[in-house]
Amino acid sequence: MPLLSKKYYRLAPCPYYDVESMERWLEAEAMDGYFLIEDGFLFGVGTFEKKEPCHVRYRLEPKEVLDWSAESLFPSAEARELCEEYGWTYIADRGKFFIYRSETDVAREMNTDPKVQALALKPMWDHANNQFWGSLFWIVGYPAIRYLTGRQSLLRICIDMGTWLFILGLAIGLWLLIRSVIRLSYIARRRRQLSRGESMSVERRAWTQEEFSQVLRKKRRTYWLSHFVYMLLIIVWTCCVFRGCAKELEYADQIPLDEYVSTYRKEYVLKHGDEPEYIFPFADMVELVERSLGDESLSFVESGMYPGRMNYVNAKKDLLASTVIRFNQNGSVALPDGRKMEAILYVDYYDTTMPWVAKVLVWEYLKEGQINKHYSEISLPELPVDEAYCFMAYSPTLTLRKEDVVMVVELVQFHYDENDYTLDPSQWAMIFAESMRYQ
Amino acid sequence: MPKKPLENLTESMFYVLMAFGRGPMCGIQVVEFIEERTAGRIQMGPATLYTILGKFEQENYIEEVSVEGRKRTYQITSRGMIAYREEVERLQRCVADATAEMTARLYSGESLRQERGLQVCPC
Repeated sequence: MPLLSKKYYRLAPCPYYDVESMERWLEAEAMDGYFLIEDGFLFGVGTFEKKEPCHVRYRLEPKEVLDWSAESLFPSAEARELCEEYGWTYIADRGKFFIYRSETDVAREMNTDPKVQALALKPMWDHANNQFWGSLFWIVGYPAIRYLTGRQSLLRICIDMGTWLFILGLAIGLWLLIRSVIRLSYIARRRRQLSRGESMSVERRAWTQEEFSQVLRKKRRTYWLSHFVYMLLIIVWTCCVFRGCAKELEYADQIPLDEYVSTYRKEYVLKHGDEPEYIFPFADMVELVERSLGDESLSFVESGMYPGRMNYVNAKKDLLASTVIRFNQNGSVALPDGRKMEAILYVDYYDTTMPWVAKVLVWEYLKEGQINKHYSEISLPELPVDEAYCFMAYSPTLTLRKEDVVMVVELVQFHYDENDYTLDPSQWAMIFAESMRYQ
Repeated sequence: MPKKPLENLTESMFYVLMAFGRGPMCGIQVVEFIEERTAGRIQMGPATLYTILGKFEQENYIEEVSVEGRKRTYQITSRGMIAYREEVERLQRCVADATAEMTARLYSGESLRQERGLQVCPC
């Protein structure tokens, strides 16, 4: 049984498309006695074996097929045959290149016509070009189209997701774009150089072994540090997004209404020593009916519909909004005359940190409403706010902005018989506009 | 107007097409033919050759006729033959132009003066 020779692992000092550095690095390793083993590249880590140091040549050749098929994994039989005939052995692949080695100085160069070599780089250029435009479309174009047509609300996603997490995602996307631009410009430079008839080796600088080792060390540090940071950011971002999604699926951030009210009241009393005047910075269903009747002794009865999924409060803070409240109330308020108001109330409340955030949020909510096929405007009286819009989509929706505060109210009222008490949009819009306050 | 991919053949491409003018060949035979024809002036590298073969096959200048193990044999197509002849004609025109120019300069004596480093009198 043959003895297994000891393996040595080395990090590649540069990205796969930096052909010159890759070739010189592998040749320098061979001069130190480390030879790349067959199929010895995985995720940028080269596997070497120790032998007698000698001068060998390495050449990186662009792959002919650049997809995920088996053909892209190894050079064609014909290419191998031709290379072996002229003293070159296929060793491994890295990225979009095959690595060949020649242990004899008399073997002719792999490429003898730079213009043909430029043609060989064409598929890689096309691939990098497609990747760049693809990334640009998915990172910038597609969100922009969806945003401008009102199909996506960037600011709302940003606040929902958390502004820091959103910025991190954006940074990762930009980084991806920058990487693809660097790759594209590198390949373009090489192609231009080859198309002019200049050999790739023209750029090889006359470094001494010591100088070259220093350059490689610097390149390796920069390359792997940026790679590590990039991967770390992706992992952190993905974990945070998955955690957020899982919490949303489990309704973990939704606090039952009565629990929220009692906790808020307790904390307020502890802090201020007296009972709070209001729990929420806007009218809830009880306050709505009370204000419409001028009566102040009403109470709310929860509906039995979707227990645990209705009558909740989701409150949070964000960089762009010091208070964000998602409020849902589903039930009825009994009036003194025996009638009752049965409704579902949704309120999205934002106390934003910058005036433009409030204005953009209003624009996003409106745009989203306008693409609804049931959209129709509802006229409103003069309200004591800076901006007010009301429209009918699936249900009447009111959007209000007062200074930096934005509030979106959706009120679904049930009217089965004359015992059901309902309010006109102009009535409840006025009540909600008057109830807007800071928390 | 953008150039077609193989509008102007490089010297290596031209000789590869020339080789197939002899009949069906595999890659190694093509290299041997070129070395023999150019008396060793052109020593084609394996990567250059398989890139050209791939490109020519893609452009339908050559077609595969048989495969024996790792060896593939190709033959020139009518499209490839047309491209080869057009290139020969182009090169012939280039040579004819160069010859005519050299002859004209020889008769005007300019070439002789330039060779001897004499200034042409502007008067």
